Amino acid sequence: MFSFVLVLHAPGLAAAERIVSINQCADELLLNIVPHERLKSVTHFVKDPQVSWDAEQARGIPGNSGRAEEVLSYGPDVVFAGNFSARSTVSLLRSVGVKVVELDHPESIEDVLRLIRVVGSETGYLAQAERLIQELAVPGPAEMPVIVAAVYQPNGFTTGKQSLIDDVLTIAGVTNVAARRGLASYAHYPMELLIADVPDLLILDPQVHSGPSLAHEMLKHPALRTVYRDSLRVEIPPQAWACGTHHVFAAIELIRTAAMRIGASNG
Amino acid sequence: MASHRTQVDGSNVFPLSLGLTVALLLALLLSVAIGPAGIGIPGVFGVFANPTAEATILFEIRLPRALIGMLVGASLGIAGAGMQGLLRNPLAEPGVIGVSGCAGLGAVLVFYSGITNQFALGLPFGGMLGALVAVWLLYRLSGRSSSTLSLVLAGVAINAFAGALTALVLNLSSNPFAAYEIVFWLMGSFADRSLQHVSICIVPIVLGWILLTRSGKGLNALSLGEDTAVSMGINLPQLRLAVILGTALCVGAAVSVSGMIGFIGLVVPHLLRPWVGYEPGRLLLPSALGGATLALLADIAVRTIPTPIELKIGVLTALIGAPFFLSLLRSMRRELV
Repeated sequence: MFSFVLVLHAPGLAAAERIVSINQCADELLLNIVPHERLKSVTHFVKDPQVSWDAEQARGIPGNSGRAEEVLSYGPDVVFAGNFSARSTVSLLRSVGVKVVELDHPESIEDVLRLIRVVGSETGYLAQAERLIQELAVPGPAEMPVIVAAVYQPNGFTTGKQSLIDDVLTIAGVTNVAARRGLASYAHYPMELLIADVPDLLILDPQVHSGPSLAHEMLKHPALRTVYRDSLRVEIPPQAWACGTHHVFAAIELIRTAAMRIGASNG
Repeated sequence: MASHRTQVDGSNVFPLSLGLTVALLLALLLSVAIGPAGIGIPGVFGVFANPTAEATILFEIRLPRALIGMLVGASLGIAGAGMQGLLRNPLAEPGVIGVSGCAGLGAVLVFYSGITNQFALGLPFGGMLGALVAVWLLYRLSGRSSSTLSLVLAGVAINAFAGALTALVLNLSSNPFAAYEIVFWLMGSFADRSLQHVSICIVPIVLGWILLTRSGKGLNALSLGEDTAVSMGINLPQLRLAVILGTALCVGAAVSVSGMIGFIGLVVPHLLRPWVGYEPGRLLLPSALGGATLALLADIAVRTIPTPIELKIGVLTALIGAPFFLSLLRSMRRELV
């Protein structure tokens, strides 16, 4: 459907021998596509189970902090990086002749699938990438109740149109109240508006953070407690959708289940 | 001229306080009527008949915000007036001289260490302890000399130190959001406060007000000099203790729930001083009323000014207050050098 140019060239590429990643989201894709002995280093982030569901898989692979010197010490054939951070590291690596593949941040499920294919083709493991995609079943629900959902993030932020999270909600079969309001992809959503809009389902981060913050404290505001009892909430772990890898399908499943539950109790 | 002013009789304070009370009540009503959900003044009254999502918005979001604004503004106003009376210095303001900064540091230590999760009252206690340390330090550093220069310089040092330690604590937090929250602590906000915040701060704040109000007579006497005050039967150590504790209680508790909001305690007493015949004791109540009104109006302004993310209230008070502070400094230049 969106056959990426690189996909067409992929068969000609030899499999990369030494792969280093300085981006957590690239780590997660690589760990699920490429044989682990080819991965010479991944980020420290992906090795933290609070941050990534692939922490277990990453055990035994050296962690890096994304500095050019560290990366070069592994003598990589190819380095994976995010396209919105570590600009200076990327240009430094390129200036010394290292091949760097930059992954953009996905804004839709299609983007996620495209990135999986990019990782597969750039490493020479396209078949494994296609297999991963096939495992990600997205069965369209036969009949969904009409549920309006609001994503409420620390500090009172939400996610509107043209974002991966909006696409996740759409595919899960619920209406994103922020998109209905025409809010941008990452926008402030005053608590007053959230309550005035009366969405049926509140989608939150789980409260598992290691230290307190005002940003998280506001999610415990009594006004939210008054309107949203636990049965009207669903918590999506950041490991599911902070990155936008194949794990985002777990978020679709969680939201769909919660929406069906609320739909059933509403009769 | 000065002697004429000091002879203004007490009848001036009552109409002034009455006028300020009316202004405060109007500001309170306006504060509850304004917000992104657009309920408005008719809705505020209509909600009693019809409890809905609007009731939640009014009673659990806007009312706590307005109450916190009133409590904090009044505390900053009265503490400014009290400290100015004690130190006999019109630049003594909780924010300028570092009392708010230390209160913020105390609250930050308690909040980010997780103590408040077990013990909600720890938050105002942290703020009060920080404020107490600052007022005591200031009094030791510059109390007796009443030199403006030494007071302001002591304030600069205390503020810098407290600010650096606050940033350090926030940066050491394991929560990634904490580091960005320095903006709240340095610039203050009443947004998304709850009735729980009102309940943890109201007792120490009111106790602080009582201590400061009861110091009024002593402050009037002190304005004539320490020896005169003693000869008039004022117990100076007791007066100092009352003003220091009163300030620590109300500013400490206020900052712990709202962050630091500067210049209210400077601007309000200064504007009201001519109206009360330059008697520091009679300035206390009007400064509390005026401080509350100003804080509420500033908070209404930050909600009305269309910015992508709501402005912090301290940004607004500093924009008004800092030029004011400079002009005060300029008019006092002769005294400084």
